Amino acid sequence: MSDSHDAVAPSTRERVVTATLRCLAAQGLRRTTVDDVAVESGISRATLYRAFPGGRDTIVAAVLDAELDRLSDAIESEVAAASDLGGALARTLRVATVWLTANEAIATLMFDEPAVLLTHLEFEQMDRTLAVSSARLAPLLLRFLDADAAERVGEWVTRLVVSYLLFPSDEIDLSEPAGAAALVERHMLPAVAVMHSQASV
Amino acid sequence: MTTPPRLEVRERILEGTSRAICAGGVRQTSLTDIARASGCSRATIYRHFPGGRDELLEALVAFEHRRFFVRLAQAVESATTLEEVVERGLMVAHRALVELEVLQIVLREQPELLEPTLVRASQPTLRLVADFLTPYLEAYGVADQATRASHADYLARMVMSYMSAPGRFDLTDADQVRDLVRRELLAGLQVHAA
Repeated sequence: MSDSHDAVAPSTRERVVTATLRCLAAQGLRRTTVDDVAVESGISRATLYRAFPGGRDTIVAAVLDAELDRLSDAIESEVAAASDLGGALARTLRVATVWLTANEAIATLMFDEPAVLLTHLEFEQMDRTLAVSSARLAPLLLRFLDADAAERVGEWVTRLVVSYLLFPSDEIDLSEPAGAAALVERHMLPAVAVMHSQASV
Repeated sequence: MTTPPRLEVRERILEGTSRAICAGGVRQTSLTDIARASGCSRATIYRHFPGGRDELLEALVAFEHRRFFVRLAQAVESATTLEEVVERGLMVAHRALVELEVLQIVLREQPELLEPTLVRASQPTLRLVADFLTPYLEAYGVADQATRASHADYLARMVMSYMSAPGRFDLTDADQVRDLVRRELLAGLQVHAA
């Protein structure tokens, strides 16, 4: 499957991703077919199947990868601008929340087909989601943390974003700088300090 | 209310449904299978669940969900400290979820059945867990009420996140759970108002 990914021309891939996102935003996952993606992207079914032999599931997986890359890039540039760990974590929480909330494909899924998202955010699939996301976040945090703490904190940040996205809180709004900063200061930094002092003993 | 016998039948039907699904999967399970597994007639099932199979399946998820939290509360009842209640709660909840075969089957085959309970009713569940933790936070020394409420909400989120997806922790290992709870979850709780 990854071989076929490499074989797809970047421009085709990009057109397919954009078209699929538009389909998902308009009608959700269940109703989006390869035909819809073909019409929306102006690429023939035959070409689509050649580029994505698994059909819809392969296309959706490619979209997920591409979107994760975009999110990671957005987080990376925010974290690069942070001067300390607290700032880096608050920025990560906020950017991820704003990005996920503004994503129309995700918004449609959350509203019409929450079960589709749920299957990625609970149980074994959530473990996979956590592993993928902490593997992407950890390297960004190495400026402030050792490798083990960075992985741990990367996973923790993911859990927080998902939790506040699924169950919005009256008190803490992670899309606001103040909300993200409050959560980091209140609950993350004291624990990270303990993690470090115990690791160095 | 004077409905205990009816409730018993309802429960018997739901338990039969759960057994039927565990034996044959969600899609394969018909109302006839459920009638056989629960020892009730189809007419009785329709009397209790006029919406038929769909209503029954949604009710089953709600029933298992409620039963899960009742059992969880019983399992941690004797805990006296916040550390103990969170540690034991995580271990018991994780094991129970893994062993709740019917939930895993539904999640795999027809996750949309979980929507009403796990998505739309998840906010009340979060509140329930937070309320349960609040007295332990008081005993832990969090004297200020607003701080306690905010800590309870935060802890409930983390507990619910970990119980369904343990990530890099092995929640069957008491030492790892101890480490998670004391170094991560509780280490971030300030006892005094900020």
